[in-house]
Amino acid sequence: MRNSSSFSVVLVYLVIVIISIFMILPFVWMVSVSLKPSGRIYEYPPRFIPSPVTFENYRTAWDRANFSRYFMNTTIFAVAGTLLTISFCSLGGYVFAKLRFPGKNILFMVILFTMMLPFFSVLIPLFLIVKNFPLAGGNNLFGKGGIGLINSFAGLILPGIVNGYYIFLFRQFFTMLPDELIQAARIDGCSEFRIFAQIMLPLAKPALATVAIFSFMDKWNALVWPLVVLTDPNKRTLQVGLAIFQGEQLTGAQWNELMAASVISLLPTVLVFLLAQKYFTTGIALTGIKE
Amino acid sequence: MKSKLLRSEMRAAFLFLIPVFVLYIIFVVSPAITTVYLSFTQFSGFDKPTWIGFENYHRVIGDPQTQKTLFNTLYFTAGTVFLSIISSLLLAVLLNQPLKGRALYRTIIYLPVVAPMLAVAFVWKFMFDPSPSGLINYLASMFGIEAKQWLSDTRLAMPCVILVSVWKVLGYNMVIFLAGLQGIPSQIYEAAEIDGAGFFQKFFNITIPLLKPVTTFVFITSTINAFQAFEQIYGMTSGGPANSTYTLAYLIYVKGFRSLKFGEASALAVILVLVVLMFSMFYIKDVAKEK
Repeated sequence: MRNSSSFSVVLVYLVIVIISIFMILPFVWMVSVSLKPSGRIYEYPPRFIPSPVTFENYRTAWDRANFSRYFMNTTIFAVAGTLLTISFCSLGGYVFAKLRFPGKNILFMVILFTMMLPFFSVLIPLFLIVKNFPLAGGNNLFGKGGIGLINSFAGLILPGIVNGYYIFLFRQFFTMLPDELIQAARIDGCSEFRIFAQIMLPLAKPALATVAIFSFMDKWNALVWPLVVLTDPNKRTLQVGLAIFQGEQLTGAQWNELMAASVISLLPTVLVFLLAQKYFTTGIALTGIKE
Repeated sequence: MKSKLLRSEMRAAFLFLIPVFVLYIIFVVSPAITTVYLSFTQFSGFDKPTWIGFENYHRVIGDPQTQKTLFNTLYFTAGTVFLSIISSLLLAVLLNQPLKGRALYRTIIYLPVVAPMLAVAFVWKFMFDPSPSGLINYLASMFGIEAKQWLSDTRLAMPCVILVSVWKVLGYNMVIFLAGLQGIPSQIYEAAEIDGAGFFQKFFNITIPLLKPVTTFVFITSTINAFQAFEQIYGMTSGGPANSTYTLAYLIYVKGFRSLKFGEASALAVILVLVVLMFSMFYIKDVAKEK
């Protein structure tokens, strides 16, 4: 058409490239600094490609700062928590989508309502409930005397299992599956649980994958709850370890070491994202916009 | 026969929901109720809570630190949401065009979303290092802008935190807007082009009005998220300098887990819930109106 059309195309590309650089620059810088020896952290002018390159910071973070242990803790937490989450939430979502029972709408409203509760508003009582959990961690029947589920794996995982967001997502998904399969199975004498587990669940693979990925990342990246609930340094997750590591900056940890630790803490979620990209767009589309 | 099936269906629903609701009641509903209760008490985590009525609210609302925090939170939320919507909408429009490498740019732009906030907060903190070799200062010097204190400057710290927060969610909101844009049938644009509409006319008379539901959704979810910003403040500024980046979620954490003033923190938590609920209600009313 007109010359301005090719000009506008160039402009569009320019804007997109600039924004992309802006988005990825911090990651590149993080890796770059993590590979710098301590004398070069504040070199002027700052360089993106370190010379010399050193992996010493990663060794420091992994061994001396115990990030190898934090990595293991976080993996266990994220994987176990995700398995539990998809189990409970898929079951919950299925019930609300496909089973008929009195009070169904009210109960679903309750779940939707709690979705709107900000986490920080329940953080403190959640902590207290976990601490005063009856018959756990030295507590008596009234939850007094000990530390309850504080610093325990159960205390870390249990609060995050039921999530209104994921139950909602599963419910939306299951609603779209045909009822005929269920009715046929019922007539054949199949138990409700078998219908769920052997017929509906295999059909829910996209939703399962989406929730699994989101849940895994949520748990891997979580800071506040692990920070509050874990008191034993050996039980820390990566983000908590990272937070403590920064605190040690005044006494020892330097920027290059902190950057190496940061890279360690974010590598898995970035990898999961790069390998499973399509689930992110479908997952987001499945939720708010359709309703 | 039919009612027998229905009864077994109801029984299954009941059984399946028990584990979900047990967890829900323990870890979601009771903390919510306890927050309200605690807000009327004085409690340091030891002994028992003492009932003091509305004193926490009086104390908290009259306290200059809280007032500054509430102001900061509004400042932060307004800045983040406003910049977020404009930039992600613009990016979505740009990326909606058939461009080469579109998927790659979308991936890069989405990358910050999946990274843990604390880790990226650390790299941004180093990028904002006040020394001349801080990356931001170095880049600024290439444009003739002198080195700044950034996170140590009471007027610049909050804008920096806002920038990081917008950077973090840009990709997420962009994907949502993209989905919304793709829901607009191209025939509408074609008809407008036949009538001679140019880019800006199409954008303002077609795109923006038809995107209203999506924009509302992004507005509400961004606002609710902004009220809960924590990791970036924890990692970058610890609320400073001079309380200029203290926001509500961070204050709740500090009051609760550092000062051990669980009662006051709960009062703040209740205020947080009310604000968030208010926004959620606006959204629900808006969505209900559309139907």
